[in-house]
Amino acid sequence: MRFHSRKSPDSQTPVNPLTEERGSLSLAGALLTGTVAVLGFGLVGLIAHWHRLARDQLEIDRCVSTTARELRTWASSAESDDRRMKALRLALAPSTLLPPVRASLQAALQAVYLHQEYILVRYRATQARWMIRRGCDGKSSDLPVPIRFLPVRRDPPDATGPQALTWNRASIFIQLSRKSRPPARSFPKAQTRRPLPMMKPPLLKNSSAPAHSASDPATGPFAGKRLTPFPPSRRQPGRCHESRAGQVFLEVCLWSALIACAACSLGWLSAHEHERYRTTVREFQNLRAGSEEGFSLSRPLPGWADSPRAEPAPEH
Amino acid sequence: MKTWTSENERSGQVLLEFALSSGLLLLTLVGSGWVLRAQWQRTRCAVLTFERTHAAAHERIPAWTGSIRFRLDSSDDEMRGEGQCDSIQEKVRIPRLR
Repeated sequence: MRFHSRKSPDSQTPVNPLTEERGSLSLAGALLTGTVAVLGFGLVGLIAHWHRLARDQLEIDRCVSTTARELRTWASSAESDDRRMKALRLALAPSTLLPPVRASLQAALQAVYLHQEYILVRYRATQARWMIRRGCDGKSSDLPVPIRFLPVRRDPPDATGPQALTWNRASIFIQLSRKSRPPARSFPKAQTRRPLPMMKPPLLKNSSAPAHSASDPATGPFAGKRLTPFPPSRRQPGRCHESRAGQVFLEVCLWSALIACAACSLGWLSAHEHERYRTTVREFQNLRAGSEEGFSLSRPLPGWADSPRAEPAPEH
Repeated sequence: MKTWTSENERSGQVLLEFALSSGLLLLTLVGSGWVLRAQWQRTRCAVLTFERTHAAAHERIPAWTGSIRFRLDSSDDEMRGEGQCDSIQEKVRIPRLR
C-alpha cells in the first residue's frame, strides 16, 4: 500500500496532490476574503458618501440660515426706522409747533431716513455678496438663487419730510443648491513592472541518487526510478493523507482568521464613519434662523442637493 | 484486514478535519456577514431617519425612501423623527429654523 505517491494512469509523471489542493483552497479563500473586503469597503464608501452629503446639507443650511439672519436684521432695523419715522411725522403734523422744535424734529426725521437708507444699502450689499460669493463659500458647485429686495415702496417726500416705507405683503426666499459632483481624479504615471522570476517546480528527491539539475524524466537521472514526494524515512502508510488534511485544516484556519480580521477591521471602520455621520447630523440641532418668521422651502431642483429657502422679510 | 482498518481510520480523520474546516469557515463567514449587515442596518436607519426628518422640517419630499418604521413629532421649534429598524432605534432632532 502506497498513499504517498500518485501517478497519472497514462504516464509515469508523478502528480503532487498537495500542490493541487492548496491551489484550489487558496483560490476559494482568496475569493471569500475578496468578497468580504469588497462588501466591507463598499459599505464604508457608502457611509462616507452619505456623510459627505449630510455635511454638504449642513453647510448649505448653515449658509442659508446665516444669510437669512443677516437679512432679517436689516429688515427689522428698517422696520424700526419706519416706526420712528411715522412717529416723527405724527409729531410734526400740528402746525402750532415752535420753529426750533419743528426744526429739531425734522432733523431727527432726516437722520432716521438716512439711517434707513443706509440699512437698505446694506441689504443690497448682502444681496450682491450672496451672488458674488455664490452663497457663502464661493464654491463653484453652489448655485444661489438671487435674493429679492425687500417688498417696500417709498412715496416722494412731502412738506413734512421724507415718507415712511410702504410694506407690501410678499415673501422673500433664500435658496441655495449644491450639485453633487464626483471627485477629481488624477491618474499617476504608469509604473513599469518587472516580470516576476519564474518559480521552479520543487524537485522530487530521489531516494538513492543525488540531486541533479536535469528535469527530463525520460532521459534524466531519475529515469526508471520511483519518485516520491517525501524522503524514504517519512514513508509510512497514511502519513501523506494525514499531513494533507492537516495542512488543509491549517490553511482553512489561516483563511478564516484573515476573513475575520478583514470583517472586523471593516466593521470598525464603518462604525467609525457611522459615528462621524451621526455627529454631523447632531450639528443640525445648532442651526437657528434667529427670527420669529419661519423658513419656507420648496422642492430641490432635480439633480441638485437640497435647497432650503429662507423667508427673512416680515409680512405686513 | 489491517489495511482496511487503517483506511477507515484515515477516512474518519479526514472527515473530521473536513467537518472542522467547513464549520470554522462557515462560522467565520456568518460572523463577518453579521458584522457587516449590522453596520449596514445601523447606517441605513440613521440615514433614512435623518432624511425623512430633514425633509419634513423643510417641507419637501425626501430624497431617499425606505421601509422603516418612522414617527414624526413636530412642535413650533423643532421636528423630531424617530426611526425603528429591527432592534435599532434612531432619533433625529432638527430645528424648524424659526
